[in-house]
Amino acid sequence: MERKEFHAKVMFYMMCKSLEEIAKVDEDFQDEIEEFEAKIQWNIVNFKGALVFDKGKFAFVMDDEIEDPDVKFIIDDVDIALAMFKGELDGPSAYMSGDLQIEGNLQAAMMYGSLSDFIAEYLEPIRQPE
Amino acid sequence: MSIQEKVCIRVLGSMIGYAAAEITKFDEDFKNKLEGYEEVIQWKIGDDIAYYTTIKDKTITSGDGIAANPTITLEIDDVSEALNVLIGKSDMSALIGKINIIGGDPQKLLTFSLIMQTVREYLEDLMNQEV
Repeated sequence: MERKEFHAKVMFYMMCKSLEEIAKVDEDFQDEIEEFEAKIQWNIVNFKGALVFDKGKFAFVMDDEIEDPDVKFIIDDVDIALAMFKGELDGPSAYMSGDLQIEGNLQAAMMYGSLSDFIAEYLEPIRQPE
Repeated sequence: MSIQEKVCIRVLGSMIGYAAAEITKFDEDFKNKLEGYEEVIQWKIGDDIAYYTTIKDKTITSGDGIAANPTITLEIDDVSEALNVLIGKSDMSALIGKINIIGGDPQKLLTFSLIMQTVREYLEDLMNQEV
């Protein structure tokens, strides 16, 4: 595995784990996902992972493909994936340029995208340690 | 301790464990460093953060919560300093005098530290950038 692919995979894990932890402690986040029901598949170069929102519950899987995803995000360029996970490239821009392919329910994709704001807020101490 | 710091420590602790497990899948040198090393390392940070790292048969797994049979327990009360170490702002020496080690062989802890140094090197360019 190339180091960049390893980094993208670790960043994907970090995104998923962040959502899992935020879902445990943040009431606003819990309210946001209370009615959200979506299976979201990510295919990044050679790696597959998925997030499952099920009316207030959140779970994720690594190295696997879920059946009948509502949305599928496909990225063929690991640099694009890394830029997105690092916050250097936003999802809509990647989608518009064709670097990020989205298949399925766009509304669910947008809802999922809005949840990334919570990650940015919670991981602020990592970005700017006191 | 802020709720943000708690989340960051839980995420980073878990992420480092995941990264270590992944590295064993493609780096034979790293895997060979684990030869003969068999430990369950329990981390307790602050009042309510707990996760553990298990190294056995040249593989690494990690999990949230309290392990059934930890061989070494590391207790750190200073959450902010623990976070600084996890993000690489401080090195492990910042925890000297702030870390309570329960059980285990200090020599094996040193070996564990060297193992984790390899993981840190893999993550270095990642951790030095924004997430």
